[in-house]
Amino acid sequence: MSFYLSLRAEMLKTRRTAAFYLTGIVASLLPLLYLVDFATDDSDARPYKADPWQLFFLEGWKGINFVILTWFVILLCTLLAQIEHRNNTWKQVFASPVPASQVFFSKFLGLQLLVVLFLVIYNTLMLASATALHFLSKELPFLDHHFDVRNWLLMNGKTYLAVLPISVIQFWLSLRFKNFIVPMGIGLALWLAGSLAVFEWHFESLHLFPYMYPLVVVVPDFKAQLPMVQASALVYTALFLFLALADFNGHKRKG
Amino acid sequence: MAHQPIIKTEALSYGYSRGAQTLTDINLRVERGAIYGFLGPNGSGKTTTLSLLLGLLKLQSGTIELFGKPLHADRSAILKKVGSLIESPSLYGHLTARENLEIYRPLYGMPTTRIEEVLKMAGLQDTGRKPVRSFSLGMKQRLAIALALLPRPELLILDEPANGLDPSGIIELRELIRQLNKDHGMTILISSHILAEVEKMVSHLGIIFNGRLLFQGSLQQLHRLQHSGSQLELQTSDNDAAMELLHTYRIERTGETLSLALEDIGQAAAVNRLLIHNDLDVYLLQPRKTDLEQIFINLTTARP
Repeated sequence: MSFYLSLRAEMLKTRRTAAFYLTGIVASLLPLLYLVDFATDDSDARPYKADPWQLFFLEGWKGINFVILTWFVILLCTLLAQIEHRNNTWKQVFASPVPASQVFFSKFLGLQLLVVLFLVIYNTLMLASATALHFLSKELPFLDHHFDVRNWLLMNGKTYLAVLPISVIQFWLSLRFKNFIVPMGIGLALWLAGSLAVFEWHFESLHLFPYMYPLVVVVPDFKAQLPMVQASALVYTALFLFLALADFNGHKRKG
Repeated sequence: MAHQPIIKTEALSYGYSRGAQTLTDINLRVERGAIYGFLGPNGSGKTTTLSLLLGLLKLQSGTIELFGKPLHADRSAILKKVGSLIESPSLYGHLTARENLEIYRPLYGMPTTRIEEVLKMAGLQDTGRKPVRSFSLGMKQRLAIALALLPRPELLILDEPANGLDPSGIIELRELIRQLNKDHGMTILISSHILAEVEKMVSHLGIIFNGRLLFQGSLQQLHRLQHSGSQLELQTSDNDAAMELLHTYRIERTGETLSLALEDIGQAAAVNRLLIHNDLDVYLLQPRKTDLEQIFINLTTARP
């Protein structure tokens, strides 16, 4: 009950914040883009005609996994921590009758709920977009084809697991540094370094680089690395969560 | 147990960095039911002491007991009985006054009606949907006080609560503090750097300077210190003879006026009798009290 109350408090703090609006806006970018693009000119949709669901979602997941979700998580973590930093509210949080570790985990779970909300909005709008396109475009008869629910759920799970260690690292950095430029800069630099390592220097041990995990989920060439990456994602998540909690307890006095 | 102080620190010392001691050997005792004024100039260590009392800073040396228990033994249960305002108001600017209070209300186990009660106490019941970021500094300060009152605390810790309040706001705050203490039996620890701001409402005082507690006691004890620090000013027909007669007193001469330290007011009459018996005419005999402000300044400037 006590943890639920802390989580409730954290969710209440996100009301009318950029973090909350950002979740909805970024999650609806791709579905709206596809809808507008194919509804206005469906000549590009011809290659998808044979299996519109599979191709439509695969293209969508590529966009989500490679850029959008990673950048969104980096930004979201920063914005959530800034709610306390900017308002100078850490001292009131720590003067309340809630253990620091409970504050930490309720904040972390609040973050994860927003990531899940992102996926829910994205999926819902993608399905809505597909349904609308069925009626708007002859090249995309979505409703005449089988929708593979199992594969769709699996893709969501893989994507969430891939982004989980990134969210832990960014969560830690965002709590640690009051200046929002620092966690944002580190996060984007690590993503950029990972991209260069993969595409320019053909670095192959992707399991060592958490910021590239979402990429492994959607690029067929990396399919063999997926089990190792998924195991590493769990290890990195546990490791950085432990380090972040120890650091949070040690440096809890802020503002 | 009845006389157990509600706050007790022993040999409390703290330094933000190695070699720079912010607090040294602070032995604070706040009795249940007291309004304790914690006074000291800016940078003297008041906020550091209060932060330690709330567990916002890690204890380095010494002990802290709240409600007769070590703070770290059962921090959450202890803090449930404490309301606090430390430094500037800690509020979420994008939320309304009610939403700010609603964040903490369930954590203290308070009913929803408590929000309206504390808003009314702070005079903020009509702020509606207005976000806190558009509040004036005084309104923010009053909301921070409402937040401190939210848990119906047994102990209220207020760090410079009059900051940002206009004169009528300060008077209202003073009344509120008196009322909370009288009607609800709340123990209140209130810090300030202005003696005049708190001397009208406190029952006890602690004066801190350069991280050391220079005085601690009841207001009566401070008043005794005030009397013991009083001076008697004299002008006589023969000041040289008067100085000779009064040599057992610590007597000084400034122009035509003599001044001597007065232990109590009875000494003024004794000095007068002595002068008259020795055929000296007394033109001026004026006891001059050292006011509390002067004592505060003396205490906080006497040491390096």
